[in-house]
Amino acid sequence: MNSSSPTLESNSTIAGNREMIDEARAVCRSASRGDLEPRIHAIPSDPAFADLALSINALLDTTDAFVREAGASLQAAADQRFYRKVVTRGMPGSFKRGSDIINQASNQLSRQEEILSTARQERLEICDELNRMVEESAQRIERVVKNIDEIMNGARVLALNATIEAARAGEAGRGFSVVASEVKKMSDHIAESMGGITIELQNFRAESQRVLDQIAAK
Amino acid sequence: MEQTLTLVQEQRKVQPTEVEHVFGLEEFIVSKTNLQGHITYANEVFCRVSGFTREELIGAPHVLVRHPSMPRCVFKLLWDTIQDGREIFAYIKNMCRNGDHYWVLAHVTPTFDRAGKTVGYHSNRRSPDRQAVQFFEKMYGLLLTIEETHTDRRAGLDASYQELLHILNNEGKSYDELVFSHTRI
Repeated sequence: MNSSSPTLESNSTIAGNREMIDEARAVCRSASRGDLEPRIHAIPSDPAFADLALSINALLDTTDAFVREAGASLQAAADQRFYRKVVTRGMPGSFKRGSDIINQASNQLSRQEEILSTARQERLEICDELNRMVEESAQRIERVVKNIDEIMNGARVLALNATIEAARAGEAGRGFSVVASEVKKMSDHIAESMGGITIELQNFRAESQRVLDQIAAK
Repeated sequence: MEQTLTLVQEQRKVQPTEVEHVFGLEEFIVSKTNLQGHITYANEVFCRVSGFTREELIGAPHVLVRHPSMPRCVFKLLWDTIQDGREIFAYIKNMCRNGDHYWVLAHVTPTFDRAGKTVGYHSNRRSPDRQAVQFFEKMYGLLLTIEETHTDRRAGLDASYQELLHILNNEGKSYDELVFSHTRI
């Protein structure tokens, strides 16, 4: 700011500016330990020593601003609030360049997040589509199973009637009675298998649902 | 303390002028305040731009530089935000000692101690984006008009704050987002 720095006056002494020197030492020590809060408050009347105190304060102000900005903007990027950039206004020299680099990284993160978000959307759509297909197939299979069940019921009734008719025919119907009883056994067997298919189908539905939910959640 | 109260009262009587002060793109106005909003630190740029001496600023409440054309609801939003432990960016018009003014893009953050307790506030003010100043000057004008239509100060503040929330809601942005969307950083 001041192109010409004040020079030491002939009567400038360290002893005469003791309070400021001691404060400056404490402030610089705190800053070197990472505490950027303290500033020099005892600004002496001697122009050169005043300039020293104000320069140390200005260095701390700029460093403090950069640290606050860098931390807050990176936290914002991590929270996906990408609008919150480092405000490079006010930042001089290296602080400005460092800020620009952080903002570039944040822009890059933002673009990658957009790509990821599109991919996530597409994955969700595929999962929805698969889910719908599984559900449709399952429903078609269920209808077929139901049809077969109805046919089997018919066959059982038929077998029962055949058994009754065979009994009525007496000795002559004996052979036919064996056939009717076999038809009934076969119907029972198929009905049992159909029950198995229904259970398998339920398991398949639950399992595919679980897998698709997992993929969608990723 | 009595002296600073007098200074604030004196400042309330100063007639605002149309003269604007500006400062560099590579400098900050810096101040720190305690929890009550009393200035504990002011940098050189603050003194130079506001026209107050360091001695006058230290210990004075920050309202010392408040410009009468600023709607109070903006400061309510600012205080609500920082007292909640969050940072805020805000466009603010401040008044110099002689009634001139300066616009700033203020970034106010709470300062925490090692235990995470808020011990004060820190404000870095940057040279503002001119386009943003135009936008916020218009918005603040509207909010101030609302505040002034109420004789009851509290009712005026409530009404203008509601309008501010309404504007943000219409824009679909938080106040910070609005600031960033109008600022070439």
